[in-house]
Amino acid sequence: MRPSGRTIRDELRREAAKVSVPNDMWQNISQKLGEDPDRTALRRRVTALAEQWRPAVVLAVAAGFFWFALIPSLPSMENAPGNADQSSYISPLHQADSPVPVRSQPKDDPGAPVKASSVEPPPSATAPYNPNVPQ
Amino acid sequence: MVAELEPIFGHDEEILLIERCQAGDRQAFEEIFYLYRDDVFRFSYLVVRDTSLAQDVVQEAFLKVFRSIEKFQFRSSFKSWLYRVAVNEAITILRRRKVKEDLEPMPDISHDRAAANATRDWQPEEAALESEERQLLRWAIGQLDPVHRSVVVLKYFHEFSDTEIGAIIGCPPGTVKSRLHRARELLRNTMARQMGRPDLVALSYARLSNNPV
Repeated sequence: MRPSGRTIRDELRREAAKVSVPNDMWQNISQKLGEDPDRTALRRRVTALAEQWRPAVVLAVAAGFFWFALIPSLPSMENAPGNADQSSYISPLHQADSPVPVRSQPKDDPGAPVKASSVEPPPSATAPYNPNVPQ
Repeated sequence: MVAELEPIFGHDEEILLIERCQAGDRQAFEEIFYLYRDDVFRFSYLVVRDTSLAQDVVQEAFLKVFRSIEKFQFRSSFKSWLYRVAVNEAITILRRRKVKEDLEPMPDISHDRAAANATRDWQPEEAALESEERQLLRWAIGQLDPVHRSVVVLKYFHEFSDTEIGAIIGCPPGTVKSRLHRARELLRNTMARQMGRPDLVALSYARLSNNPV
């Protein structure tokens, strides 16, 4: 059964006739329209305040930009010419906190590294002269 | 595409009234409201199917129109502009309350049929069946999606032409025609399924697949 246009029209009209239009709609609309000037005034005040504070905001943003973007790119004070190089200085505190323990070497410690003076010279330096071997 | 809806009263009078509104004349606002109030309220009620929701739609639609009436440039008729705002408001409200709408119960046809049989002595059977079908049709219209329901109401209740409806919902008349066709097929499908007629449902689906929208 496909409803005809007339059936649909009749049914819609019957349904629309059941309701009556509320009477207080204009009062609500009028009240909300009346609130509009207040809202407009508030918006205008906020805009004026924003305009007033805009230079300060611009300055703050510019200062932030200089601080975070420009200052780190300048040469650091430590490496500037005329300053002593302090990189070789190790504080005792840092030494104490070093993960590698520093201890004094005993004299006859077999594990001790061989001193440079006790190292034998290379064989080429002590071997007798052999004319067949290129020097 | 700009179509003109016939104003309720003279075109010149409507223009004068709108110009007074644009100048901020509150009395003109009120006159326009009372001119269109009944039609817009009935349209909203038939689309949202709830009195308080329809009231919200009407109030929001008129508020939006009055707040932006300065931008109205008479390129289309005021009536079609007002209806367009009302359609958009109704669809927005219905989408917001979709869950609630989905819970609308189906009509109890068997109960109605029993009631009709009980009253057969003084009411002809045809009248009882007609009443049953009407109830089913009303429910089926409620099951349409808001866009199709708006088109159906604009066409069959307000009796706008396809061109006028196109101006309201913002599409060409051909699209309006195909939406109307689809809406009627959906109504038929819903009613047939509810009445336990799978043959009609299958026929309806076949027609819909031949006429995609």
